[in-house]
Amino acid sequence: MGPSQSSAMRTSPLIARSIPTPATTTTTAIPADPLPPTTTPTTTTATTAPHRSSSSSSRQPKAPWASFISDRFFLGGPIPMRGFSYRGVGPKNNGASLGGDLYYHSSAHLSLPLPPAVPSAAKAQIFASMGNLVSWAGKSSLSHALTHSLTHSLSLLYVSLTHC
Amino acid sequence: MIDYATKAQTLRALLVTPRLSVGAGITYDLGVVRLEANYNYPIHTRGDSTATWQLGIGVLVV
Repeated sequence: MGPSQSSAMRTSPLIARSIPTPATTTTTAIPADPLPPTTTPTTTTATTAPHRSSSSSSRQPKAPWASFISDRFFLGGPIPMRGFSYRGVGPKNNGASLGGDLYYHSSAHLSLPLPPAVPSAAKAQIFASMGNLVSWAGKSSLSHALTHSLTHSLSLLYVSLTHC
Repeated sequence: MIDYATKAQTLRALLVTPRLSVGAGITYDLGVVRLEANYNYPIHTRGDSTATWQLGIGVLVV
């Protein structure tokens, strides 16, 4: 081991500890660039940049008015819309729910007491549910935002009225 | 350019073709948690997937 190598080992003790002691391995295992010798930075940039742009463009909606699936509403299930399977209401593609941009749901419940032999916490109920969910096609960005705001407001109003 | 004809058609589909279901069941209140077991009878499904028997767990949010 030469004087320059020993000074490099003193300045980077963490690297020296993780490297085997033979001098030949030390000189090859402390490269300034962690990339393999065959990979140049230019090649890496050229291969990753188009990949990033293509993945980001694939995540964007195909049209300015198309909404992401994470921004859409789903309807159906034992709590929000009885009688329909979970997320079973609305447009579908090969059986998969696509969600929608506009929906409404209303239900009426009637609770009835059970005979005294049954615990009082248990009650019978009859109900009727009605609702629908559609995709808001042909919308502009402003109407999209207004539609979501209005629907959220109505949903919050429904929750607050339900639990008052 | 806003397509008002498409919007009107979408609103019409939303309001004119509702999904309806009725049913009966038993609820059990455990304070903030409510358990339900229901038998459903969908009336207007419009091709949507339905479920005859459903178990539900609701949490009361104050």
